[in-house]
Amino acid sequence: MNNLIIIASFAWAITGFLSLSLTIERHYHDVYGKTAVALNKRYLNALHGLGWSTLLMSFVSAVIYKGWFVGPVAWMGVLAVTAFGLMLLLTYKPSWVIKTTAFALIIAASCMLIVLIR
Amino acid sequence: MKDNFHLSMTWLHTWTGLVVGWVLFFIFVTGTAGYFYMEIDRWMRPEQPLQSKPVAADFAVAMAEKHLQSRAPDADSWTINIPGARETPYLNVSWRNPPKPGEEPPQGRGGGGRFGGPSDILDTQTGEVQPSKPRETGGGLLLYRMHWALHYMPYVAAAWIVGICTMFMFVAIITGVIIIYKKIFKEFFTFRKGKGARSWMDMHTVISVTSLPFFIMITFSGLLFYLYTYMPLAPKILFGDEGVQRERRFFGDQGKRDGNAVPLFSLVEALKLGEQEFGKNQVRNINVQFPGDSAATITITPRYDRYLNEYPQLKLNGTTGEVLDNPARKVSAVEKTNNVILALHEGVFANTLVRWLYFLAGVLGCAMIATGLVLWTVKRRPKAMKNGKFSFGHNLVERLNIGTVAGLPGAVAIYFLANRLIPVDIVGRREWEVHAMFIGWLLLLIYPAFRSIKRGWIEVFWVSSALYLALPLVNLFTTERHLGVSLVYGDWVLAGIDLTFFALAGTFAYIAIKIKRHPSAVTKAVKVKNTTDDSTLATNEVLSS
Repeated sequence: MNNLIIIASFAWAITGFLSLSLTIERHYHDVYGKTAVALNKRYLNALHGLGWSTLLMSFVSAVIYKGWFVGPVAWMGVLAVTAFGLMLLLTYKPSWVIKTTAFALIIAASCMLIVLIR
Repeated sequence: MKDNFHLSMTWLHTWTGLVVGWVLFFIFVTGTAGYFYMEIDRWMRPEQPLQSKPVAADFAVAMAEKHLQSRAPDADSWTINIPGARETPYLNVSWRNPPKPGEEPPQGRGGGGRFGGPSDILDTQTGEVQPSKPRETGGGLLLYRMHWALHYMPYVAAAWIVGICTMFMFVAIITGVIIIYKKIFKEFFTFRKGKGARSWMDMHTVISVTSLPFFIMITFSGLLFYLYTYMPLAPKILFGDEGVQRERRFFGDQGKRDGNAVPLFSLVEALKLGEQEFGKNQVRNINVQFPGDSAATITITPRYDRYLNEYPQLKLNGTTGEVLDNPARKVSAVEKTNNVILALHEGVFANTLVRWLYFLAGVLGCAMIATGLVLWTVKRRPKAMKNGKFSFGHNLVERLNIGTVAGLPGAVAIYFLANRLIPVDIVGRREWEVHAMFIGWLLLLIYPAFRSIKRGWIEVFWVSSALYLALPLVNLFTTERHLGVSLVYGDWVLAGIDLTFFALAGTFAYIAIKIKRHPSAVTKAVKVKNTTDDSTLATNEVLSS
């Protein structure tokens, strides 16, 4: 139970960071190819919204995991490690980005769901 | 003006980072290992038993109480550690005998064990004493201690050196943020590979930015540890010359015996009261002052993995079990603030997962310093190439980088190897473990001077890799605490350390191979003729010569 919620925190962070990375032109082109049409405003806003709200979910999960004192500290660690790993993913395997985002979103949502139902 | 400001910030960042970079790297490596110092302590004392099997707390306490009643009925103090928490891998009991006539009573209320007094490790199934006479070693604690006290020098001198380096690091962090603040979000994940100095710069930035909160926290809080060393007048004015007062405030007054024999309140009942207060299985240890006396007190300490700003304890009357007021544990807002900052630095509250996150953040810190140091040389190589030779200063930095970044981890491995290979009965064994580490580091610092830069990097990384690979193997042949035992038993602390050694060996080998495959003179020499302005290619030629 406790482990599920910290997995959720990681997965939310992955979803959040990757969504946000797609709003940056460099990574967007790495993922969709150099010739891809630039995203219009609506998509950009949606990605921003998804990114920041899932990062918030990651924070919430970390707080559920260890309370108000230790939770935020754990969250900082989750963010640091996740961001570093995703930097490598975006550099070396940009074609996996969409898959990873979707996968992380599913994991995050299902972990959260299981924890809440119980 | 604006450009000037940016330039001066860059200058400041570069030079504050460089002059203390090697010391900072040492501090970060030993400090990062320090997050696991208790675990390393266990690894370095292979004579101690494996982790205690999980046991019901009340069963353990009953067994410990029985043992202490028969083993040390006249002791001034008993301490029972209940296994399960990080600090208490065993059912460990310790006690302190009354001071002999004319002897100063020791400070604090601790039992034996940590404070050098007598202690026993009990089997959680049978209650029998397990053999546990450990070899003489500084253990993980000594390695951790180097993180703030260095070695071979007085404590205060080290405090100043570490403090000044930390101050420089703080300057480097602040200037670093000023240099890149505009790009923090835009280039949050930007790493352009295979582009020479550009790539090093990207990597240095990415690492620094992604772990920035950790770096700021660790540097700032690090400075606060030495508050009283850097500002010695403040405590003198506030508390007078007596350092004892502070101790007493922390540990609480020990009190005195009354001399009337009264049976001790049941420790199992005391445990129950503790669990009511702190939660089931949350009690970490029980301390008894003057067991069997009418002045007896019982102090119950919970696990600290949920506390950041205070360290609560429950104090009971030792004959009636009545809850006592505990003034030493009432903390002011200032003290709470102080507690939070120091706890954040040490990660006292961290459970296994959070501890690993701390460790990884520490590794990223090492990587940040390492990439910064390397970046300094990579940026300056083209110019040096143009001049046809490297200046003494440049050469020195290149060699110190190799000996420190690639060599220091190897030296730490030598410290662990020495722990296994130096005969157990040799005099001054503890110091020789440390000597081995520093002699090893010295050799790894000198060696690159006789090699080309590229060969130096590759070879020293191979040495470090080989040393880490050797550790679990030497462990296999010299002790009964190797992977074959720890994995089967399920002692993940000991197994985790051996497995981490394998991981480190793999990492260093990977880096060595990466450097070796870096485009070298053979493939680039031709291109260099055509594109002489491409400085990185020319650099490669010299580096691999």
